[in-house]
Amino acid sequence: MGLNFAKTSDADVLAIADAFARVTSRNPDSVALQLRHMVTAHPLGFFGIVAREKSGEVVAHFGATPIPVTLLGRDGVVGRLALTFVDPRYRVGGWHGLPVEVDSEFRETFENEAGIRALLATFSESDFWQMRRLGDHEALRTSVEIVRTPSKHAGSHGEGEVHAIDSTFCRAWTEPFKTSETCTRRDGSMMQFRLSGPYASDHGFAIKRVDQIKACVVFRDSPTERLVLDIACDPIDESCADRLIHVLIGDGLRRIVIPRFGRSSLLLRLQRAGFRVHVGDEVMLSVRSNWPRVNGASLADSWEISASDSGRFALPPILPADTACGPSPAGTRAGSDRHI
Amino acid sequence: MTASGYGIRAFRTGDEAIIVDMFNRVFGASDPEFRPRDVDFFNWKYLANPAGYHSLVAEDPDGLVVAHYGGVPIKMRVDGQDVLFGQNCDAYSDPAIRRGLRNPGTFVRLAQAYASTFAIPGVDAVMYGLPVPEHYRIGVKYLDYWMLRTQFQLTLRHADQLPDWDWKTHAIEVTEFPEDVLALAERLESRHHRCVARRDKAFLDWRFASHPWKSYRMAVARPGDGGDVLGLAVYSKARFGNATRGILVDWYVDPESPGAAQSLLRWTAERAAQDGLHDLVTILPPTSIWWERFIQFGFEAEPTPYVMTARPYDVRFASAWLREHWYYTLADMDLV
Repeated sequence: MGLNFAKTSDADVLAIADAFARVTSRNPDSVALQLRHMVTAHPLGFFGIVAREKSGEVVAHFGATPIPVTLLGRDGVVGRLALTFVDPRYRVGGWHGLPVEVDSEFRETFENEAGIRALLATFSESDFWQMRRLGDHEALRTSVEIVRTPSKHAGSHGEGEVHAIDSTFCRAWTEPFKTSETCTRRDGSMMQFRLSGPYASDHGFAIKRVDQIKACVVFRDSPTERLVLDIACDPIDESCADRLIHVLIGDGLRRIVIPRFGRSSLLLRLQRAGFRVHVGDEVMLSVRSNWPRVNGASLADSWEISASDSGRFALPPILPADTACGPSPAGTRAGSDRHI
Repeated sequence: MTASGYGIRAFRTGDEAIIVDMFNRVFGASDPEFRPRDVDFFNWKYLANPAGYHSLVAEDPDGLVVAHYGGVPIKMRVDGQDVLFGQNCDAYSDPAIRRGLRNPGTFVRLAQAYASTFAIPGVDAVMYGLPVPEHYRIGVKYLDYWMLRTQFQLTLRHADQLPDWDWKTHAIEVTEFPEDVLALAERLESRHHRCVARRDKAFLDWRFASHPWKSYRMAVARPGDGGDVLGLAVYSKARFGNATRGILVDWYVDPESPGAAQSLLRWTAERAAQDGLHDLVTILPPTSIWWERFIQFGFEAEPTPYVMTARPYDVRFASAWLREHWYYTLADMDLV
């Protein structure tokens, strides 16, 4: 194809941001801020492959921001596709198209024991079914939105000390906060990343009991809406959960939206505090894993995933639109290798 | 016939007993709450279905049936046209011939033959199901299962929160469905549901009234002066997940008749209370108008252990379209 593939570096940020903004009609300055923050400030780095023409023009980028996790009792890092795009001129389908070639380059470079053990993605609907066939992605969950319309909160205030997550708090937060043996591992360095740079105006709070972090929440306020980017709580500490919800609701004057893929141990409590589960866009979250026993089916029930883990919206298209409906395959790839 | 002498063929009369026996051995071994099936149950589920049946078996070199793959077709109405969807179910093999996931052998071949046989134009436009995670995992790996959505259930814990009975609309318990339930179906298909199972008397009576376990209670809503059917509801006390619950199995109500909804919900909640059950559980698509209304009535969303799967074989039924437009309830499934 004659294109050049390289790992994403700080020097690539402006060119990638310009190309991404052109393809998605986003503001290139805000894209550049976001990408530079991911590439330079994340405590675990950034995983990205940029594709350029011989002229130097950026025509595709596959990038993933790392998430430290414990999955099925094992610590590791997963990546979430972000700021990923393919220039429309290069969206060609099938095994020999650029999207699959960049994806293959990304996979060979980063998806291994030393890098990321699994990759999350919120592909567009059409792209998901193609990446399922071409790129081994599996369905993990579809999204809902847990929404509260403005009203005062009359429920329990719960128990626990509320701490604003600022730089001082983050520096002292060295022990990862885990909610179970399949969860995102949150610590001060991750929170510092999530609450700085272009995200510096977001708000974070942690709830402590007996000097241990039992819950945390990160949200972004606009005049009329509070968007919850991250929320987690010790699933057996009900008083702490009430405290967390009370902090989240605040004065109750804003609409509150919690984008969610799948389960939450807080779901019933949130509904009893006035939240309702709505369907939203039903974005498909997929996973591709090189980690034994970690796959869509094994994670579907157990991992509580926040918007900062998964993203909220579908990624821009990377492949030509196509219907995946068609005749039954003669055998699945796995099944066709078996004979009786 | 494969090289090792196993054969795959269509079900034929006489297979019922061995299929049922195998089912009871496979699923009864690990579940203390398991209720064994008999030939009557098989005949009701497959041979009595007004939409027909799909059933393939695998037999060993001696001609003994060692695996079964079944499907329950359902007549759908989609934008005014007749279409067939197929619920895949009752797929299992004799434990004696299994070789585990690493070497799925006979069962996978049977399942692939099933898809090749019935996922063709004029037969199943969509194959679907609501498998538990273990079956979903096998289905994804070997049988091309597609996730449609993460399926939540709606649970009502406080029936006193329900709107009152509407005294102008009566919930009338029935032992079979009236002929004019077809008028309700036609009205809802044209005005509210672009993709839905045709709920005529034949389907409803087969699905509920003639079920061999007689475990359903059924009601229709009519105005007090005896006018058209405005809605129907079906209740059952049954196992769902890992507990016995009051289940709203079917809900098919004119959204333009709030009184019908009020009275039918109150009727359903009373049946659950009579059974000593405090919770009422149902499954609805979150895109349906009833999802939002049930939440307003006090139902709470909870995750289920089930994965809603739907594999479309017709380009009209892309997954996003099915999520948006397909109205289904537990009446479309064989769970309850």
